[in-house]
Amino acid sequence: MILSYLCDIIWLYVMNDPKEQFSSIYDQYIEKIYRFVYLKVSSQEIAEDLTSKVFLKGWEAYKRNQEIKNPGAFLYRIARNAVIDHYRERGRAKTVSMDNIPEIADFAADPHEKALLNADITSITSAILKLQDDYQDVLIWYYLEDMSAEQIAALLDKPAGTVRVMIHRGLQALKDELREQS
Amino acid sequence: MEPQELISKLQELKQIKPRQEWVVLTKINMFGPITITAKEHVNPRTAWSFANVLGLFYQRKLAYAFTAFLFIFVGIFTFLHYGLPQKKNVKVASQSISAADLAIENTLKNNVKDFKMKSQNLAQVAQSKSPGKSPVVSLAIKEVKDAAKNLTDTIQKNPQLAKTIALDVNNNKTLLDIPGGTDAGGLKQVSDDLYKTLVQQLIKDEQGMTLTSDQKMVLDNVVSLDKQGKDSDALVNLVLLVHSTDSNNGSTSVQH
Repeated sequence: MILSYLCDIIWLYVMNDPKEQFSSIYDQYIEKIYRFVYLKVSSQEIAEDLTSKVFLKGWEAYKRNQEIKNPGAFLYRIARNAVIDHYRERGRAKTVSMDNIPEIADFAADPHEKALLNADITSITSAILKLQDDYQDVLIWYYLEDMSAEQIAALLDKPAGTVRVMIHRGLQALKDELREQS
Repeated sequence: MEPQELISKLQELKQIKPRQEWVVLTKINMFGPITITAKEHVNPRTAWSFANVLGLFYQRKLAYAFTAFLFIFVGIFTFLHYGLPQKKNVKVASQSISAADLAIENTLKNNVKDFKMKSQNLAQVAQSKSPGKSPVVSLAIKEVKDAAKNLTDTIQKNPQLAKTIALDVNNNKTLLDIPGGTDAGGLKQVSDDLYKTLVQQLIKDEQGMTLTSDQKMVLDNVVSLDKQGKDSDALVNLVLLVHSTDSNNGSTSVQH
């Protein structure tokens, strides 16, 4: 009884530490945010750099305010802005030509990069890059991260119906893009 | 391309994952201070300052270790404090046995004292020349008989104490030689019973000891006297033998 109470106190003490809390958030979202950024910049180096910045910004904000209800949405918003800033700084068009894709992406001996060598994945990645930002986001969140239309709606601050339409149109746009590539 | 095919292709992108080294490195860089501090060369004298010790508790592994340590500490403490009932019982039991022994020995001492006092009383009454002393003598004899019976019973119940009173009983014998009768009111019978009980127990005690040839001869003589019913004589020899064997063993019998 006393021991159980003691363990609870220790556990609460540990989990009340913002560093521990954000560490847990980091473990939970690092892959998702990295994938999201990678699919939008198509470069391992840039994706790593941007993802680090996303989590650092997130951590700074979290230290000031730990009342963040939805850490996923919070991090995705930072990631979106980071990608926008990245393209703004580079002064580069958001759409990337098919010819440039192999040069932009850092294909190496890494397992996930090997997977990217797969032709299908390469083509779909380049097709996604050519879509509008909103379509890219909803397709990634809906089909890759298994978020519901309602969750995406909350994230984009748009009605769920609008999001469903965007998913439908985004999928159609991706299909057209792939058809064009082939 | 069918929508389902397109969706499955999209889901293949889940294979994109960050490098594990990069994930770990970024985390260390982000939450670095504790980790970096731990890797730095710290002066051992200042390493365990209060702030550092407190800082360690921010690490989850240490918290678990601390919990485990507390668990073991409380367990050991509880075990040591409450977990040895048998040992405690043994201690209490040994204390009870000592107390019981002491009580029996005190009873025996009181019985011997009572026996000696009543024997002296009988001797005084028997030697007085006052007229009509007969009922007083009878009463005194009865009291001595009762005291002797009590003493006999106590020795029978606690034979290990026979040796401690042998000398007293032997010295008391002369007081019981009442002039004017071979068996005054059954006193002789009672005192003989007492001597017999004592003699037989003392013979057993002596037989269990290592004796010299002379001592063995004395013991054989005592056994012979006992068989002949001469327990009073046997007791005299036995008291001497007990004194002799106790001297050999470096101990002395209890003197009252």
